[in-house]
Amino acid sequence: MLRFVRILTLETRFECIKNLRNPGFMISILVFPVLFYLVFGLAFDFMDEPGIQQSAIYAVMCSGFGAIGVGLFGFSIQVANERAQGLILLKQVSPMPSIAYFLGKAATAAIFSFLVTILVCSLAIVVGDVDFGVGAILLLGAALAIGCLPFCALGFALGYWLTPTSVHGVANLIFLPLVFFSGLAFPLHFMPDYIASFALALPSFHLAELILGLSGYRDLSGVTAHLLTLLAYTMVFLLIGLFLYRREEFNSVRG
Amino acid sequence: MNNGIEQVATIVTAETVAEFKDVSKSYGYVRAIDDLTIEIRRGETVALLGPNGAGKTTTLGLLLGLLSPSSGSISVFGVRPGTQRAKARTGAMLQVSGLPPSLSVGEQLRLFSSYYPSPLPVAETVHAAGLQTLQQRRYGRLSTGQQQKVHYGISICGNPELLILDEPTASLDIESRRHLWNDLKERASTERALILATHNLEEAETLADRIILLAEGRVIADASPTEIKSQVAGKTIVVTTTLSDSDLDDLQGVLGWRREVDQVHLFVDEAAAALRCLLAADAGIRDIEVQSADLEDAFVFLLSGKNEAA
Repeated sequence: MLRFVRILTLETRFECIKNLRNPGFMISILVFPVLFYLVFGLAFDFMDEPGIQQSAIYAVMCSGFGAIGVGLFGFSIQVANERAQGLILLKQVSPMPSIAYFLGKAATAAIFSFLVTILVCSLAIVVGDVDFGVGAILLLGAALAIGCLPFCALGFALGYWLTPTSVHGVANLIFLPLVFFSGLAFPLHFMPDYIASFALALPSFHLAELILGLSGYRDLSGVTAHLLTLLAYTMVFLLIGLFLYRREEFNSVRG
Repeated sequence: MNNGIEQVATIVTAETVAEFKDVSKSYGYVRAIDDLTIEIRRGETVALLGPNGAGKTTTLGLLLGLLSPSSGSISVFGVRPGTQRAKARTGAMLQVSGLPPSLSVGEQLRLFSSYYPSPLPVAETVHAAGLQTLQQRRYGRLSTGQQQKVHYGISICGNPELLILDEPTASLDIESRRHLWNDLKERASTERALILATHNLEEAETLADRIILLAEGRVIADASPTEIKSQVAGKTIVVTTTLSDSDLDDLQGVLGWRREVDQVHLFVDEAAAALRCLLAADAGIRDIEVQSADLEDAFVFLLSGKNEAA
């Protein structure tokens, strides 16, 4: 058990180092939420009402899709690459417990989701004139550290399904509707009705509702249900990923 | 006292490290491994040799539990290969690695060492693999040969009792190759079993005390290098001749032959008698040279059709 914790700590630590040393990945996970906040976060202040500051809501939303990006892109692209290059095979041959591979990456995604939240919220304080308390930022960061998990599991399944060349395109194809049709990029009441009803089926919608609830923009009573829905999505994607992983395990070496 | 009994028990039960029993492995209609039965014991260094497609990599894949056999059974340390118990005692150097390019050599070794229950100290692994000056360097910035040393380091970092190496020195320069051979010789102890697949006959002859020659998924020979060479105790006659294939087959005293460019290599029991037959069949032979058979000749002889007919 102690050894497992040690393995997990080292896996997480070196995954973090890998990300930090990969400028392409860092830019892709940071630029999108930051840029979106700078472009749209400050543009809806005409809709401000007492107690509803649009630049604050937008900071919550941008942190949300930042976390989706961390989970989805981090996992899908890295898993597809590491599979193709043989790293997973090498780890499979070693006595590393298979689950440590997923957990190490998931812990890393949680850490980076947390960091993206702090970055976006700091930006909101500085340029958006938002009055975030430290407690509120930490709560949001913690929620997104858990809330990124279904997207990690989805990325894991994609990484096991696709090749490194096709995974970029497919991950983007999935990322964009996840963000745009869930209320994270634009409020859902700007969208046609059929999109708003489609949103209910997206894990990103439940993530949006979860963080809005925790930030005081929705009724708190819905939080548990959204959290459970997100965990259910995690389980489903994880099972699909594990199925693809098992399928590959028996076709790995030829020659 | 108690300890002594335990030690004896370990030695007795742990004799066999890996065992293949009537193992076959097919990919669709292609049979990569055909009814393989081998036993590998502690203390042995086994070289797996054979032409491309002979089934070497498949054999290693089965041994590591990456593949499951189509029929037959395999056990490693008495358990199914690929189980946690087998993997904890096995180290492997594969032809692929895909180590993350942005992590340093030291970081990679630290991480992989953590997977094993009783790993070597990282400093010892670094020394054994000849990586002293490369510890801080990122893997992606190393040359192919240097990367191969890292792969070797990873294969030994867990202090494994079974070490499996697939073409371990393929892209190493001569000096690094010697270093790795020396380390492997030190590592080959009574406690350990080493299995290496290689194309390099010098490597097999230097390291292995047992050679398993595979062809088309079957064992053609399984003996020490010396025994294998003694199977062709005779000589090799290299000669330029106009004789046809069927004439060569009919020559008396010739065990096997192969053509190389415009010359023919004949493996013979006794050179003088064979030369007399050869001269009788073709008075125009030129450029005659008589050599002792080396390991390569032995393999050609063992793999040749004439051997099967004999």
